[in-house]
Amino acid sequence: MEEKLFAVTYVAYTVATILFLGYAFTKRENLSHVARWLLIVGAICHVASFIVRTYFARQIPQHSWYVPWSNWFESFSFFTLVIVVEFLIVMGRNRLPILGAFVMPLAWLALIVGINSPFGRQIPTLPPALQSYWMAIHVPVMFISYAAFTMAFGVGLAFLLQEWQLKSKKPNHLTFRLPSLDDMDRMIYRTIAAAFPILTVGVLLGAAWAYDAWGRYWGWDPKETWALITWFIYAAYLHMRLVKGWRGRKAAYMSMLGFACVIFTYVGVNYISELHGFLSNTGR
Amino acid sequence: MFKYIYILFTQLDWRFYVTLILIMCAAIFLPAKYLKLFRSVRFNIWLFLALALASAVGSFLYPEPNLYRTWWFCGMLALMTFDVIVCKLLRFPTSVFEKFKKRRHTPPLNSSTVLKLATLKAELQSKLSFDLAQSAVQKFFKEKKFKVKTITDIPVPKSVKKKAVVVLASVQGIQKWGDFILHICIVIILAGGLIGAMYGFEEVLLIPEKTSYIMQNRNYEVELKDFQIEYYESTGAPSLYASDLVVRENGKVVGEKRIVVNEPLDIHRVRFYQASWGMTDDFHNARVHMAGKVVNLKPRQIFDLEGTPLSIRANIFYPTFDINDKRQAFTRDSKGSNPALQIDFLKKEELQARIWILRDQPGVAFKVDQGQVSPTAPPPFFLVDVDPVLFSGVQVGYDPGAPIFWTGAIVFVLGLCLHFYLHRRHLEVVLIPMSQGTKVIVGGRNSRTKSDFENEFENWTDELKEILKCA
Repeated sequence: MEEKLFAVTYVAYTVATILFLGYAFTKRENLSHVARWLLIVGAICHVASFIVRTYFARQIPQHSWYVPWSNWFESFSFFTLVIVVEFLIVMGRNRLPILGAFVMPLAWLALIVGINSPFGRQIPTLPPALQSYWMAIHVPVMFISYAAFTMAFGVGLAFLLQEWQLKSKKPNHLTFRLPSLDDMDRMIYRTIAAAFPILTVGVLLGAAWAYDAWGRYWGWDPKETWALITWFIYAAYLHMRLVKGWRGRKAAYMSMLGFACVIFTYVGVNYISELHGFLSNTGR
Repeated sequence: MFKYIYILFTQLDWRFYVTLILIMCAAIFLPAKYLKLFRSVRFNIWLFLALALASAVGSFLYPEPNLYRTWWFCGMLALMTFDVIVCKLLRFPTSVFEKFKKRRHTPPLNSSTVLKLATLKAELQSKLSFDLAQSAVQKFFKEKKFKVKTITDIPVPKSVKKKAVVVLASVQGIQKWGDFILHICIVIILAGGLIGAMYGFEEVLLIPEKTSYIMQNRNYEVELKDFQIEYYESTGAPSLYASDLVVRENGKVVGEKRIVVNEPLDIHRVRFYQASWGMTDDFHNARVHMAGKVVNLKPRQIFDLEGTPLSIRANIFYPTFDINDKRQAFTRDSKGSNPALQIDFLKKEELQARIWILRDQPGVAFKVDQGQVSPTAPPPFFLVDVDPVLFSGVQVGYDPGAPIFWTGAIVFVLGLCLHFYLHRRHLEVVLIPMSQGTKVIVGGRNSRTKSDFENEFENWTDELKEILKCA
C-alpha cells in the first residue's frame, strides 16, 4: 500500500516538474494548472504513504515515538513533501506558477536522492537517541526552514537568469513569464525573513533536545556548528539587506551561499559528525 | 526561582562582574569616534563571516573542539557581544543610558522632525473645519485599531505661522522592540554560555554494574544498581539501555531513578545522563565447549581437564580483541565485536601456559609469552560465549548558566518573531487650520520596504479623502 502511494507520488511530482518546465518555455497556460493539480494529488498521496509507513513502523514496541523522517530515504522524502507544500502555499498566494520551473526540479532532485538511498528504503530501527518526542518537533521545524531556503534559492536562480536575459537583450517566453527583478528580489528577502526565525527556533529546539539527551545544549558538534554557520550567513544577509540596503545580484549570491550551508548542514555534516550521523547510519 | 538566582549570583566570581562592568563602561563612556568602527554594519558582517569561517574550520578538526576554546575565537565572540551592546543597548528606545549620553538624545516631535522620516507623503485639502477634521482623523484610525496619539500646538511647518495638530497613528508598533530585544538576548545567551563554562562542570562516570563511584565535582556517591540493554531482533542493534542509579550524599539517598537516553536524573540541577555503555574486562560467566559438552567457567575459577594432569583458569575477557604493533593483546573498544578470553593452563596450580581464545574464530588461538602474543595451536575446547560485566557511561553535567541561556533563547525567539513577522506602520497626520477648511498632510513610514506599504498607504489616503471631504 505504502509502495503504491509512494509510486503515485513519484509519478505526480515527476510529471508536474516536467509540466512546469514546459510551461516556462511555451505559451501553453494550462500546463501550469495541470501541474498544480498533480502536485496537490502527489502531496496527498505522499502524506498518505507516510501515515501508512508510520502505522507499520509503530508496530515495533520500541517505536512509540517513530516518525517517518528517521533515515536517509525518509528524511529526503519528507524534505520533498515540505518543499512541495510550501511551494503550493507560495504559488497560491502569489499566483506565480513559473517559479515551479525553478523550485520543483530541486524538490524532485531531493526525492531522487532519497529514493537512491545508500542505506535502502526499509523502515529503520531507531537508536535510543532518536526515541524521543523531540524527533517529532525539532526535525519538522528545521525542514520548514530548509524548504523555505530552498525556495529562496530557486527564486534566486530565476532572478539571475532573468537578469542575464535582460542584459543580453534576448527576451524569450521565460522572460515574459518571470516577475520583475524587484519582485523576485523582494520574494527572496521575504522568504528568508520568514524562514530565519523558524531556523532559529529549530536550532534552539535541537539545543533543548541535546540538553536532555547529552547533557549540554551546545557542544560544537559539526551539525550544531554548521547550523550556526548557516544562521550567521542568513543573519549577515538580513543585516546587509535591512541596514545596508543590499539588493539584486549581491543579495541573491548571499542567499545562495546560505543555501549551500543548508545543504552541507543537512547532508555533508553526517559524514563528519559521530553524534549526528543518523542519515549515514553512524549516529548514536 | 529567586532562591536559585540568588545562589547563582553569589556563586559568580568577581572577575565576571568586573569584566561585565568594564565592557559596559567602555560601550557607554567611550567617545563616539572610537565606537564608530564597532557600529559599522560592514565590520559586523565581516565579524559574522569570520566567525562562520572559524567555526567551519573547527568542524573539520572535530572531535578536537579546542579551536572553540582558543583566545582568538572567544575574543571574536566577546567582540560580537561588545558590538551588540554598542549597536543596540545604547540605542534602547527609552534607554536609561540616554540620560548619560545626551548626544544621542532623540529630539521630540517638533516642526523640524515631523514628517521627516516619512517615506510616503500625501497632501489633502479638506473642506471640514479644523476641529471636525481632527476628530474625523482620530476616529478613522481608532476604528482601524490604530494606536492614536495627538500632539497639539506645534508650529508645522515652519513657513506656516500657525499652531497645528499632529495625529500620530501606529499599528503593530511593538515591532520596533523586536530588533532591540533579539540583540540584547544575544548578550544574555552568550552570558549564559560563559557562566556555564566558568562555573559548571562535566564529568563522565564509567560505572560497572553493582558498583559505586565517588564523583570528583560533588560529594556524591553514584551507585549503579542495575544496567539493562535490549536489542532489536531484526538488526541486533541496541534498542534501549538503561541504568538504575542511586545517588547518595554523606550516606543519605538524594536521588534515585532509572535513566535512559533522553530521560536524565536531576538532583539540584546536577543532571545525570545515560550517555554510553560498554563491556568491562570482567565477566560473570564464560561458556566453553569441551569434550562434547558446554562448561561454565567463573572468573578465576580453576577447572580440571578430564584425563589430563592439567587444569584451566579463565582470567580476563577482552570485548574487542586485537594485537598492537608491539605484539601485545589489547581491546580496541568496549562494544564486544571480537570477544576473547584469556585462559591459563595450570599444573598443580603452577602456570604452564597462557593463551587467548576467540569466540568468533574457534580455530585461532594466541599464546602469551612475556607479555607478547603469537599464534599457537588451538586448545581442545572453544569459546561459546561470555556474559560480560557491563558498565554504564553516565555523563554528569552542572550548568548554572543554563536558565540564563534558556531565558535568553526564548525571549530571543520572541524578538525575532516581533521583528520579522509584524509589520509596523506609522502615520503622522498634520492638520493645519486654513482660512477655509483644513490642510492635511499625511506622512507614512513602515518597518518593511516602501513597496510593501505603498498600496495600503494609498488606500488609507483615499479613505481619508472621502471622510475629510477633500476636493
